[in-house]
Order: sequence, then C-alpha cells, then structure tokens
Amino acid sequence: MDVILAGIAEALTLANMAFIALGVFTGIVFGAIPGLNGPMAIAIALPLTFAFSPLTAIAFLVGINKGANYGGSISAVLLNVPGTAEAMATTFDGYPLAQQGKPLKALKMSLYASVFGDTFSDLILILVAAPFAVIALKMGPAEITALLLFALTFIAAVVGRSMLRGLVAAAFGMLLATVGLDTEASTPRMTFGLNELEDGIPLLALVIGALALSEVLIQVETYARTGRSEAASVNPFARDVPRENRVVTRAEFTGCMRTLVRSALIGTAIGAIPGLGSTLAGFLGYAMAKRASKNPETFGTGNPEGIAAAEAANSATVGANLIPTLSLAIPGNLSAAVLMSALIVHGLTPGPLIFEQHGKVLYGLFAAMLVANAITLAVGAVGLRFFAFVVSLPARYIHPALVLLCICGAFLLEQSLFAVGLMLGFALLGYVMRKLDFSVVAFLIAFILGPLFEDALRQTMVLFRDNPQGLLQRPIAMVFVALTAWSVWRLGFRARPEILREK
Amino acid sequence: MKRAELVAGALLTAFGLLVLFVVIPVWVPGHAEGDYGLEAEHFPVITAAAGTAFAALLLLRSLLGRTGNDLNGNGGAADAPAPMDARNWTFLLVAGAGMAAAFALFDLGGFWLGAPFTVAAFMLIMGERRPLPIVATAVAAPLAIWLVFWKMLGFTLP
Repeated sequence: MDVILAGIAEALTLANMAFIALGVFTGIVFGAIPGLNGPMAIAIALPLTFAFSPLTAIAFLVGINKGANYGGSISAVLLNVPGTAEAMATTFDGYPLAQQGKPLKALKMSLYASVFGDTFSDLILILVAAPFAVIALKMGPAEITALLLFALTFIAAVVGRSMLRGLVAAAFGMLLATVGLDTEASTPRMTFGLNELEDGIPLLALVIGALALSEVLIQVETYARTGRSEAASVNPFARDVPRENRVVTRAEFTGCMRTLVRSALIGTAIGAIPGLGSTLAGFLGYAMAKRASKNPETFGTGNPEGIAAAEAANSATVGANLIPTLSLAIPGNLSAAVLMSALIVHGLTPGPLIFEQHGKVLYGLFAAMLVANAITLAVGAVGLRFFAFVVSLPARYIHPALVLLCICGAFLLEQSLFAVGLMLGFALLGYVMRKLDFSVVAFLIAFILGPLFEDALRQTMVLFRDNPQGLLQRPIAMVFVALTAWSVWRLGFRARPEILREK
Repeated sequence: MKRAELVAGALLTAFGLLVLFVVIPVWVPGHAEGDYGLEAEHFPVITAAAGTAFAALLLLRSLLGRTGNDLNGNGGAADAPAPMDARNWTFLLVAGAGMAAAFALFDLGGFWLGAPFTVAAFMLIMGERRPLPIVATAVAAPLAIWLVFWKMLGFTLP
C-alpha cells in the first residue's frame, strides 16, 4: 500500500503534472495534423526525456499518446480528414454533425467519449492487468481469425444504401489490400515490378485520398457551382449560437451511456489483444452501436451517438494496449511498442516482475494516466472553440489549403511522391464512388481488415496443417464462429427486401 | 441510375475478370506443392472472384431493370436521374488535370513550386478571380504548413 501511495504522490507533483499537460498538448497537435500520429510524436520526444526521472519521462510520453489519440478526432470531425487512422469511424457522424452547424457539439461529444473510453480502459488496466493479460494470451491465430471473420460481417452496417454496391466496394477494397509482399513468404503480389508497392498500398494515402480529399473535391465542386459551401459556416465564438448546437446536454450524454460502456468494453478487449489495433476497435464500436440502435438510419447523418461509439472504442484501446505491454512485455500496438522501448531506456523492464521490481513507478504511471485523462478533458474543452474556428473560415480559403494539407499528409509517412500520386488517384476514385453510391467506408474497412484476416487465416491453416477440424478444439474461436453465423443469418434476413422485393 | 449501374457493373465485371485471368496469374506466384498453408495467390483470387461475382450481379440486376434498394427495402427508383452528369465529369477532368499538374510541379520543383500552384489552382476552380486573395492564400497556406512541418517539427516536405 505504501508503494502505491508513494507512486501516486510522485505522479501528482507540480512538475510531473506540467509535463503531462505538455505531453497532452503536443499529442493533440500531432494527432490533429493528418499524416502525423502518436507513435511518431513519442519517438521524436523520447530523446528529450533522457534527462527526466523515469516516472516523469513515461508520464510525459503517455500524455502524448493520449493527446494524439484524442487529437485525431478533431480533424475527423471538422474536416472529414481523420488525423490518425483510428479516428476514421469518427468521421461517419462527426463530420455530418459539424456540417449541420454543430461543430462544438460534435467536438464535445468526441472529447467526452474519448476521455470516458480512455479512463474506462485505464481503470481496467489498473484493476485487472495481470489476469486480463492471461486471457488475451489465449487468443491465438485461430481465435483472431474467428474474431476478424465476425468483424468482417459488420461491414454490412456501413455498406450504405445498396447492399450489393457495398459488397462490391468491400471485395475490391480487400483485393487492393493484397498488393505488396505477402507476409508469410514475402512473395510479391501485384506489385507490377514497382519497389514502392512492395510494402503494399500505403494506408494513409488511401484514407486521405478516398475519404478526405474526395469529400473536399465534392465541396469544391459544390462551391464552384453555387458560390457557397455545403458545410454550414458557424462562428464558434459567437454568442448567438443556439445552446443545443453548442453543448452536449446531460440527457444526451446519459442517453449514450449504454453505447459508451459497450464501446469501451469492445475497445478494452481489442486493445488487450496484441496486433488488432484501435482502428478496428473504433469501427466495431460504431457498427455495434448502429446495430443495437432503434434508429440505425440516423447513423452517418450526424448522430452524436455514432461519435460516442467510435471515440469511446478507439480511445479504450490506449490503456488496454498497456495490459500485455506491462504484464507480458508484448506491445499491443505501435504506440505501446514505442512506449515499451521508452520504459526499457529508463531502466524499467516490462514483464510479470515489473509490479514487484518497479511498483512505485508503475503505480505512479497509473496515477499519471488518470491525470492525463483529466488534462485531456481540460485542454480539449479550452481549445475546442479555437479548433471549431477552423470551419468558420470561408471555404474558398480552407478547401485549397486542405488539398495542400492532404498532399503533405500523404507524403509525410512514406516520404515519397509515389504515395502522393496514389493519394490523388484514390481521391478521384473516391469522388466517383461517392457519386455512384459505392460505399467508400466499406471499401476502406475491408482494406484495413483484409490483411489482418489473411495473416491470421494463413497462420491458422499452418497451425492446423490445413485441417479445419482443429478449430473444434478452440472454444473461444467456436464462440466467434457461432456469432459470425448468427450475424450472417441476421444480415440475410435484413437484406432479403433487396433481393426479393425489387421491382 | 439504371444506366449508371449498368455501366458500373459492366466495367467492374470486366476489371474483375482481368484481375482474375491476367493480373493474378502473371503477377502473383504461388509456392511449392506440399507446403502447409495458403498459397500467396489464394486470397487475391478469393477477393477478386467475390468482387467479380458481386459486380456481375449488379450488371444482371440492371439488365433485368431492377435497381438497388436499401437494407430496409426503400429507394431504388429505376428512373432516378443519373448520379453523374456531364458537369460532374467536366469537374472531375478539370480537378484531375489540376492535381496532375500539381503533382508534376511537386516532382519537378519541390514544395515551393507545387504548393502555391495547388492552392491557387483550387481557388480558381472554386471561382475566385481576385488576384490579391489568390496570391495571399497561395503564399500564406504553404508558409504556414512549412513553418509547422519543417521549422517546428523537422519533417521533410514534398
């Protein structure tokens, strides 16, 4: 107990809190800029922490991680450009709500949901880190294959107005994801002899092009035709903005509580399993909320519940990712891997013994994580009017600058103009897909889930020596297979009108 | 809408068949017989076959005079207006040309040639004709991005 209290006391010193705040602010800036992300920010900041005490250093880096996770939602809501890939699902309802003249409301909902999900997973981390890690370790390739198969059925939730067109988009999205060296034997697939394609199609080029720049093109076209933008212009500093457009009321927030808890649970579970990633969590949280909703047709049109679902789920992976990192020394994702290297640099070796050997620092870290959430809430609340001010600027200045930002964002991660060229091509493809009502979202989600599914499936096939009966000995996998069958049955039932009732 | 779906279905089916019978056999080698696991070409074939099948269904549906309803059975009027008219195609051509020119300038002259051109070109596309706002934005936006990305964060720009 003394160790716990000493750790907490050290975390709550003024200097540490100041560094956490600096980390959160830095993270928000990095997260909000398309092309930059949390792991990048942590990696850049790591050398700066060599002079700090271990707790100050790790708390500062954790602050960056949390800030970046929230920051991704800012540009997702305001510009339809997810600052980080995990904020992709936030664009589904965040951007339409901002377009309706309610950017402050959308930002507040994303902030509250993000902090809720993050705090939820931090508490899970603190309370059940060790036992949870043991369960997560039971998720082998077979279980992950079954889980991803189940996740793939949720594409149906985002196919748009036509199931068939959505399925076409999803299938070709998954096909596109197979470009590059295959992960098992490094066999080049559809690279056409281009070295640039050996790592596959860059995710960021696809997301920025098909999702963000294609939308900017539509806005540019609308403005060119009508002289005004489809996006509602609102001055967030104006006092005459109706209250319901500015705030998330207590009733609205509590109305989303079931969704928030469900999404936080999904995010925590996915975050605790190494390799699945927060993008999947955000997407699954959103799809599950839509499926559970009495008004699923309102999702995608600016429903605050959609923002809450996506943000709570993707943020809940932040704390959960540290469960396998701290207890088993298996980093849950890239951010956790960079944080793990920071822990090692500062003399803290992650693993089952870390609680015994570095209890004080570890409990200090837990306290710092909770403090970082409170600071994210404060920084976000103070800054959101400024962020929302971005959308109140005239479209004829904003949209051209956005095109430039998209180009720079696509270039940043790959450091190659080839990625920029791909991004511009995907922007044109996205424009045509939107006009012809092929779901860009289904296309992107299939692109993201495809490689994860293929890797897990191939590992499973090798593990079972091509004998699928091995699956019967895996109860967790069987549960997910049963859930998949149920989901497909429901899907077939709902899709029947399209097939049978058409005239 | 029906015609658009017909054309889209036909093009996508043709694309899928091309991938299945030309691209994958040439550009995706398999592996030696006797190994466990899936061959490298397995997943591309499955996804391309699925995409082609769905696209063929789309084509078939439009040939039969039916158009897509939503999941609740709403919508799908066969006589609905075309989703992309001549003005959309013209815009796509102009925007595509603008982006291709911007890409070429980034490639040839780097950020300080490509960036101002991109901003100015899109302002012109949006109907802005006043020289002062165009010049000011074409200088200010790249400058702001350069300051943040290069000076503050140390990232290379295109």
